[in-house]
Amino acid sequence: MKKRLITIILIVLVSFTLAAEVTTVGSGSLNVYGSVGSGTIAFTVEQTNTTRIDLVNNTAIQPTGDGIVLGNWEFSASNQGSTVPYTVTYATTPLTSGTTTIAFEVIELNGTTVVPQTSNSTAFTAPIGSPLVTRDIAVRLIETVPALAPAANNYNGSITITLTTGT
Amino acid sequence: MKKHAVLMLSLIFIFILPSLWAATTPQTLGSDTITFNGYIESGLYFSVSRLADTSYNLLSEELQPEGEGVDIGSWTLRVDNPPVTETTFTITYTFEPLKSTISSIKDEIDFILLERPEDESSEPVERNNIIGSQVTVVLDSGLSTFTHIFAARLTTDGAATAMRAAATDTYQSDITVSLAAE
Repeated sequence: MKKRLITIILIVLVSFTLAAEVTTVGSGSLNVYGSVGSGTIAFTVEQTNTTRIDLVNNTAIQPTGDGIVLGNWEFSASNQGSTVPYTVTYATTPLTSGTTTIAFEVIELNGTTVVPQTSNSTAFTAPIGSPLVTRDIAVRLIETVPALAPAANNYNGSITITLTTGT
Repeated sequence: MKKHAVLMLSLIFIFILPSLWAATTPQTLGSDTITFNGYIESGLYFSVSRLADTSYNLLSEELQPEGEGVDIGSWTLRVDNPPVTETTFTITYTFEPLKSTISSIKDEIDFILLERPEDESSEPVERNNIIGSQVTVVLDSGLSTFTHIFAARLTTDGAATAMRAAATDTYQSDITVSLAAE
C-alpha cells in the first residue's frame, strides 16, 4: 500500500515537471553585414642620387657599364580583391646643354635582375591582398660622348615615371 | 511610351558609358620625375715627336741664318669636347744653345726655331725661349686638332760660333715643348 502511494506521488511529480518546461513559441534571426573597401593604392617615385655624373670618365655610365642608380619607384596597395595589371612607363628627356643632346637609357633593377627598358615601359600584375612592388632605376648612355660635345657642367636630363592601370 | 523607353535607354547609356570607358582605358594613378645631371670635361691630348734622328752638319747652308732650317720635330694638340667658353692654349719652347757633350769643348752655338702649321697654311714664325705659340679654341669650334712642325736654324751669332767651333758630332740641345691653358 505504501509502495503504491509512493509510485503515485512520483508520477504526479514527473507530470508537474514536464508541464513546467519552456515552450518555444516563436523564432527569428538577425544578419550581420560588413564590407571591406577596395583599399588604397599608392605609387611613389624617389630620387636617391642627385650627383652630377662625369659623362666621359665614369665607367659605370658608359654603354657597356652597369649604369648608375638615380632613384626608385614603389607601388603598394591594400585589400585588393582581385589581380590587377599595371604598367609603368618611363618618359625620358635626353641630357641637354645648349643645343647638344646626349641620349641615355633607363635600366630597371628588380633585385639583382637588370632589365634595360628598351621599350620604356614595364608591366606587372598586382596580386590579391596587399601587394608591394619596387624597382630601382638606373641610367647609362646609349653611345659614348662624342668628341664634338662641348665640355660643360650643365647637362641635364629627366625620367618621368608614370603608373597606369592596364597593360 | 516609346519616348519613355528611348529616354530610359539614353540615360542608361549615358551613365554606363563612362564606367565602360574607365574600365577599358588605362588610367594614370601616379607620376613623378627623376632628374639625371651630368657634366663633360674637355679632353686634351698633346704630343711632341721628333721627326728624325739625323745629326745635322751645322755648317750646312740650310742651317745658316738665311736658310730654311731643318725640320726637327712637331707637336699636336687635340681638344676633344672643347669648352663652351673661349680658351687659349699656349705652347712654349724651352731650349739652350747647342753644346758638346764633351765637357772640354766650351763652344755654345745659338739657334732659333721656326714654327709652321703642318698644312703650310701660313708662313713659318720664329720661336725662342720667350715667344711661345698660342692656339685659341672657341665656342662651337667642335673637335679641334692642331699640328705644327718646328725647324731649327742658327742665329747670326750661332753661325759665327759654328764657323770657329771644335769639330765634333756631339753638339746637342734638348727642346722641351710645353702646353698651358688660360
